[in-house]
Amino acid sequence: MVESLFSGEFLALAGAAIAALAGIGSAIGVGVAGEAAAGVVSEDPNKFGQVLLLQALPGTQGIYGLLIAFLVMVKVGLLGGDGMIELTMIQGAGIFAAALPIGFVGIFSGIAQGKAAAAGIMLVGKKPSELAKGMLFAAMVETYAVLALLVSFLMLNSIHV
Amino acid sequence: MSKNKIYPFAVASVRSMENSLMTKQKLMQMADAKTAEEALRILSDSAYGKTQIKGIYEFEKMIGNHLEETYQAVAGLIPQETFIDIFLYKNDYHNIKVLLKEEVSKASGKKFLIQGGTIPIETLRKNLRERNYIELPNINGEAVEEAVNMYAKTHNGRYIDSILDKACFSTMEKAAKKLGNAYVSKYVQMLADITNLKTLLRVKKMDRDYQVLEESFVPGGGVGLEFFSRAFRSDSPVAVLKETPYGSLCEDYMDQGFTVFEKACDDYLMEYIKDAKYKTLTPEPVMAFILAKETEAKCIRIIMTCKMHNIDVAIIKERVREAYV
Repeated sequence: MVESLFSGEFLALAGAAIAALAGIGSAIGVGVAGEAAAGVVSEDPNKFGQVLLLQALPGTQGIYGLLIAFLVMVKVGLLGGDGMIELTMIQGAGIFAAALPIGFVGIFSGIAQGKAAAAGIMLVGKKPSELAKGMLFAAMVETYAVLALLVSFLMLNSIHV
Repeated sequence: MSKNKIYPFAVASVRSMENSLMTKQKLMQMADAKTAEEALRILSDSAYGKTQIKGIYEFEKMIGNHLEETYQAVAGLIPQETFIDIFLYKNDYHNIKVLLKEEVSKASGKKFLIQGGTIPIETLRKNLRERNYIELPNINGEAVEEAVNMYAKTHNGRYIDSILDKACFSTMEKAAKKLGNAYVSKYVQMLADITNLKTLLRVKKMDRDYQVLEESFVPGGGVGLEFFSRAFRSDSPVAVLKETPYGSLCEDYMDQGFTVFEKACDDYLMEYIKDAKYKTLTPEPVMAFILAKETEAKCIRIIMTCKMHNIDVAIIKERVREAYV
């Protein structure tokens, strides 16, 4: 039982799971931004469209995590219908390591972006003409999620199975 | 309230509401108006215009209604928390003062009662008459008793004010401590200090005894009574007060007359309140908004009263406080 836990296959699956955890960050981020958006709309319902854009921004981390999780599953043959291929311990550990960047950066950048988006939403609440600037501030955080996605993707691609 | 709790909904709503605040320019425009009617017209174009009034003498109704609306709107944003109450206790205590004075003088104080306390006026009146303090949480029953007894002994209304002011500040201090928010605690502390500074200046000006200062000294400040007693006895109070955090405030404005000093005090507090402009998720902006509205109401009262008495524009402008936005 314990040996099967530390097999290459298990480590690869654990990697896919960690990548998908980036969704935690997005969920918290979109949640915080959503509360702020509701606050603005409660005062001025016409701003719904503008604040919705900002609320959606922290959602990307979850998508990046999903992407890496999918790539891992394709790589190990889980989605092919032929069953999982056999992996050595080294291969499994490699896939696990490749999933870490997007998993962790996704969680924290999602939360941080949610706060920045909430602040942007408040900016729109006060000065509707400044939507672009508010979006830009929140989008800055996106850079680091994209970088983590890139690292995860490159690492995953270079592992041969 | 836990330290890291965030309130995106409340803060975002308040940020939107901040658009309804009057800017300093708008207030100056009111001050510039040729007649009180014209000033009132400018006021009616703002958020205060919701209340229809018959003439300039009813402008207080406009302010009262708007403030009450604001209190309700803000309280509704964070219904599970009571931190807004800290800013409403002063209204409760004000109403208690009015009701007690009504009781002893047998005159009607109806027009002095204000809405917006934590306790509805009718509940307050009924329980105060029956001396039933159990129904009035947050109100210091002992202080009310003391005020009544003191009045019975001295027949001097000043004691009702000073005893209840003390009780109000200690209630605020207690509530702030319980809340544990540094911004609120600091504000309550500053408010107490500044109230004491004003008392000192007033007592000095009126040439009254030290005893009057001691009786009116409110608790909760960062500057202790011994400091004030030293300042009172010294020939130059400013020199003594220079050592306190309010050194520059006292140095720059204390010798320039009471009106100037009072405005400087309000501006000093506003400067502190403005810190909340840079907070996004914590509850500071919500509290700052209430204080901003109260300052705005004060400015409007000053302007309208001056206008109705045909006071010179330049003098009115000198008295207009700094605005939050």
